[in-house]
Amino acid sequence: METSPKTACRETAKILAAYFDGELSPREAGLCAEHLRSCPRCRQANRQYREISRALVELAGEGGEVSLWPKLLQQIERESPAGQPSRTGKRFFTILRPAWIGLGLSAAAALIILFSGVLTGRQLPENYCRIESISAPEHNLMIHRGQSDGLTIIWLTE
Amino acid sequence: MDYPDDLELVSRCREGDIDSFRGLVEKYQQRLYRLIYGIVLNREQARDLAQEAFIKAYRSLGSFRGRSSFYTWIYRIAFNLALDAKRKRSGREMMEYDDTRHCDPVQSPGGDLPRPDRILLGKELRERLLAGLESLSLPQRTAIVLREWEGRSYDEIAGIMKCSRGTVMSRLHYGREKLRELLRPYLSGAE
Repeated sequence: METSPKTACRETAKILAAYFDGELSPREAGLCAEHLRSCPRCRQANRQYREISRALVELAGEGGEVSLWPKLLQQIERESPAGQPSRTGKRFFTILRPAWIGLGLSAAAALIILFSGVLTGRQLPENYCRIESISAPEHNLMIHRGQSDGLTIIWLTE
Repeated sequence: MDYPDDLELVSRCREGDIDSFRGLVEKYQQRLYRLIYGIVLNREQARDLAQEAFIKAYRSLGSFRGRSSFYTWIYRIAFNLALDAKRKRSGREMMEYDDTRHCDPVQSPGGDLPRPDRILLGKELRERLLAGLESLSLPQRTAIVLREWEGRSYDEIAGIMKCSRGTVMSRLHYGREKLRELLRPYLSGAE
């Protein structure tokens, strides 16, 4: 059964946007193209879709460029460590300045010395020599304790 | 779009490597911003929302399972934020334009000479186009932005908007028809 030109236009109008977007099946696209060849009105509509599309693309460019990172970093830094994911490892050592690391390691050294004999009251043998070491990123602590000369040497290296 | 190296960046982010997150931000900020701008049509708000989307993503990286690409995942976060913002804003005001927008003339697509009247027509066309976009329903406008600005297929749009392909087709059809009606004086074939 033949469809009237008016009906054909109505049917084409429904799928014209999809035709314009290339989203029709080959069969549907073929029928649509065939109608467009014979219908100036629908052809014009198709052309106008293209013009609107071009104008929209121009409009999209108006948004300009953005660089979000500086503000994002500030916000992340403000929110951490409550924010996720946790940056505990890295943050821990960036918060601790070298002076604090030195103090912390010295305190640790003191504890080691105490526990290695002084507090327990244990008499250390003659010529006793003990070396302890503690490592942290970018810092190393080494303790030498000798009984014979009563010397305790602490090295703090970076 | 699939970026396998994004998973590597996400994985490093989770281990506390902030530079990896920077890599993801710099890779996708422009596309995300443009998508949001298309929905809210306000630069400042689009920038804030894009930032919010990245912060939200950063906080939720632990829940990202890698079933979809990182971009699809953050895209959805941004998309929902933009829609929420638009809904809230629409409730408060009927129409508001971003006065920080460029005033560069947009040539009428039908025109070929930069005559003064053409330039004026370009400015008018742009304003009319923005008004047209504002006047569309949010689903229609979103479908048009996803199609025209993002180049998404109908199936992808259907997935993003959680509707059928037929609904996408209908939204694009009615959205474009409405724009065509509003822009008729500026389009080819106009008197």
